[in-house]
This record gives sequence, structure tokens and C-alpha cells, in this order.
Amino acid sequence: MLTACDQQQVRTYRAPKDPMPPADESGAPRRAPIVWKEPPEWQPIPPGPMRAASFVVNGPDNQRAEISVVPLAGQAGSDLDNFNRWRAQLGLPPGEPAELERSVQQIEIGGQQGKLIEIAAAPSDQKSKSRMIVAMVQRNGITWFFKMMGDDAVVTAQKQAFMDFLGSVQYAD
Amino acid sequence: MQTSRIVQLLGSLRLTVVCLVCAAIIVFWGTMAQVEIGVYAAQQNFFRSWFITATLPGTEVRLPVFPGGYLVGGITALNMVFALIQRRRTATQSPGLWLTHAGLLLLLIGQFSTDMLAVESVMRLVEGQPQWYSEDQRKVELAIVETTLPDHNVVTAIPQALLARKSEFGTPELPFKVKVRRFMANSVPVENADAGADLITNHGAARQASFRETPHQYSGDRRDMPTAEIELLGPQGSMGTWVASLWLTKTQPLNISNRTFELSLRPVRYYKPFALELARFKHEKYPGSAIPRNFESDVRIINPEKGENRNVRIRMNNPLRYYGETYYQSGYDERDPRVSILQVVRNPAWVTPYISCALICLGLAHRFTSHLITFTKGFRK
Repeated sequence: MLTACDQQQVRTYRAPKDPMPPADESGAPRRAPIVWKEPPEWQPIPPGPMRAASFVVNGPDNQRAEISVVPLAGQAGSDLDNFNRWRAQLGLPPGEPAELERSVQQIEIGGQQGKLIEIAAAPSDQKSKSRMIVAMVQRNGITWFFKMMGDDAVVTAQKQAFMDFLGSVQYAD
Repeated sequence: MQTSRIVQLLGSLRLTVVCLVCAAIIVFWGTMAQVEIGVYAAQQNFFRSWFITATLPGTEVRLPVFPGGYLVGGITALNMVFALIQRRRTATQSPGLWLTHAGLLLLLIGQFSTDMLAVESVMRLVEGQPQWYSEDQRKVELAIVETTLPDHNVVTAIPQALLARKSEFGTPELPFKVKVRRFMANSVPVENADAGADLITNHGAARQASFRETPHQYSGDRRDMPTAEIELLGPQGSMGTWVASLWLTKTQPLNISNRTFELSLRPVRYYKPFALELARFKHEKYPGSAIPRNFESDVRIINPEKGENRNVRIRMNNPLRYYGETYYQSGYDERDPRVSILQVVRNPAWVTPYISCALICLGLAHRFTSHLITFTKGFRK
């Protein structure tokens, strides 16, 4: 077994099998088994590999919203970084810390204390108002993001279903 | 003539004063800079550097603006050596002077050696699970782990410094070559590829994942999250591109020529020839507060090479010293009471400050007592 740590060379060495799933930078497990119960009207769609799950829900007039569950290693950026990333996805300019503070609510997800943020964007044409509700919670070195984003009417109508979905989340370990 | 003037300058008291003033400025400036750029970056730019650099306004060009810690320390060391040589007659009569200067020199050399040789990492222990490695908190490596064999893995690890050079790598253990197409020292995930993503790959777990490069993270409690875009090259040519990122929580499986591999960008691992297994973790806080009172890890050392299997206790301020490394009790996981986190420090120069301090104390004691004796004799006369 090699213990040297030359940072300028490619190293090849034998290592014991990991007793548990590989770890992130703080040594936390990379997989955290998770279960939930989604509402029947949500249609599962193939998740992107960064996503643990994706759903879509349709409303009237071809309106729709998409729900995703994304685990990311570590702290996954500051709350303000994430807040501004989501605002950018809705076409909004970056927000101030005070604005973030006003938008955040505390929420319990799978026995862990998490945060819930709601952002709405109303473009000047008033035809494509969109909304996003994101919950995030940290567990075992992984930050889990639960996000519903789409047309304002659908997201607003599905808010209670989304909250029930968050309430159903359980971590298996 | 010119040489003798340089030698005289190098041993002059004026240079000592200049060095001390520069050191004071660096300490003050570096301490203030920690507010803006964090402890790690300030250490790198102000203390572990030959020159302090600053960005030219409006560009990304960095220019030296002031001597750094290494330069000032190096000149101070030279100054001491030359001063001793120039004043050797006085110094010969006073062993205390020699000892004090030798102690100071050793202190400077020891600190430089620590910076060059010391390795710090973190070991996370979960109760009942043997742990064979610690992990670097800053550097990453591209790990290609062959999991085909039942009893052990074969790891090929490409360090961050080489990934940044974007070269091509091959080893006899791998049936393919690895070509680094792009490396981002820090990145953020972009969920929507239209939103400014830099990388999109066509294989592996990150098939639809995309990332954007961002500036370095200087905050003390956060780290850079690197991402690499790599291409695997087989005998028939390109096998496709993959994205490996510290953001991705899963390793990516590869099946090539009936052999199985896992691909990931992960913190650099330092494997040990022994394992530590956490038997029990005790974490006490002061009543009614979150202030830690005591951490204790009862750890079993399992060393197959030495046939060693024994229990040790690691407590706050009572580290384990084993195999040239020191294991400090450094933290816990707020969400998992079964987890203890140890700081692992390998520092071959750890003993130099103790020897330096002893030499300086001896030297000063000798100087003081010899002056005292002279003074007492004079007083009697």
C-alpha cells in the first residue's frame, strides 16, 4: 500500500475496498437513501443524473411545473449564492441579503431542519409569470434540494401538494 | 570592494531593522487581509510567498508589490549569519550570543520546512467502521478505481496540479488513456444548459449535468468545488467524454474489457498501512449551551503489518501520535452522534520549534548570568 503523497505524479496503488459508500470532502457518505410519497397527479420523468428524481405536473392552457430532487455534495454554496442562482433562472437580477432573509422560512424535512424559499417573477408582459418554491436540507454532508418551478398558476395550485411531498420525505439511515 | 560592501550590508543592523519593519507590515497587512480573502489565501499570499502580489486594476495580471514572508524570513536568516561572521570576535567570547542566534535561525528554517513538508488532512470515523485513509481539505484528485478484484481495489489517482495542465495520462494498469480537456479549479452546477453552462458531457452520471467556472473560494469554512471534463482514449480512439466534479455525489461506473472501474473527482486520499476504528465517541457540552466541554474518541488501532490491535483514547488537547502523524480530536457531526472527526497532521519538522526555544532560552540565560556576574564583580570592587 502506498502512503506517499507526491502531488506532481500520477499514483497507482492498491487500496482496501470501502466499507461504506465513498465519502465527500468531509468524509460524509455520498449516498443517502431517501424515500418519499409523491402526489398521484405528478408524472415521473427520467431524472437527469444530477437529479435523484424529476416530476412534471400540467395545468390548464399548456401551463406546467417541474419538480426536481437534487443532492449535491457539501454545503453546495451559500444561501445567497443559491438564492441568486434561482433568481437568475427566473430572469430576475441578484437580490440583497435582506431580501433573502425575508424569503426564507424554516421547515422540517425528514427529521432535519431545513429552509424553504419562494420566489416569483412577473415579467412586464404579464403573460408568463413564473414561480419557484425550493426547500433545502443538509444531511450527512449532502445538501438536498427539492424544487418546484414553473408557471405561477400551476406552482401556486400545487404548493400544498409540494408541502405534503416534503412532509413525506424520510431518510432510511 | 563591491563584494565587501554587499557582505557588510548583509550583516548590518540597518538590514535587521528593515527586515523587522517589513515583517511587522506583513503581519499587520496579512491579518487585515484575512477579513476579505480568508485565512488560507492570506497565508498563501502574505506569509508563504516570496512576494505579495496584487491584481492590476482592470486586468487579471498579478504584480509583486511587497516582499513576502519567505523573502523577508530568508534575508533575516542571511542577515543573522553574516552578522555573526562579521562580529565573530565578540561572538566567540559569548556562547550565549551563538546559542540565541542559532535558535532564531533554526526557528526560521523549521517554519520553512513545515511549510514545505507538512501535510494536513481530515479523518472521519464512524462507530464500528475501520477507516484506512484521511482526506485533504483543499486538493482534489481524479480517481479511477478498478473494482474488478474481490479483495482490493486498484486506484489510479491524477492530482489536481496535473489536471490543471490539461495533459494526457496513461498507466500500464489502465486499458485506456485519460485526456483532460478542461479543468475548473472552482465551479457551480448549472441546471439549465442555456443558463451559461461551460461543460456538457455525453457519458456517465453527469450526462446532463453542466457546470460553470467561478472564481476561487476564499472563505475559511468553504472550499473550491473543482470540475474536470475528461476524454477516455482506447486503442480504437475516443471512447467519449465524461465530467467529474466534486459536486457529484456518486462515482461513475465504467465497464471496459470485462473490467469494472469507478470514476470520480474526490478529495486527495492519504491511505495508511493501518486502520483506525472508532469504538465509542463521547461528546459533552456545557449544560444549557452548545459550547463543547469535552470530546473523546476511543479508537482501536488495527495494524496488520505489525500485528497490532490496541485501544487508544484521543481527547481534546491529548492527540494520538502514531506513524509520524498526529491525530487531533477536531470535530463531530451535528447530525450523526456516531461520527468523530480527527485532524491528521504529518509534520517532519514538528520538533524544531521546541529545540529553537530551548536554544534561545539557554542563550539568553547565559547572556544574562554572565552580565550579572560581571556586574556583581564590578560592584564588589
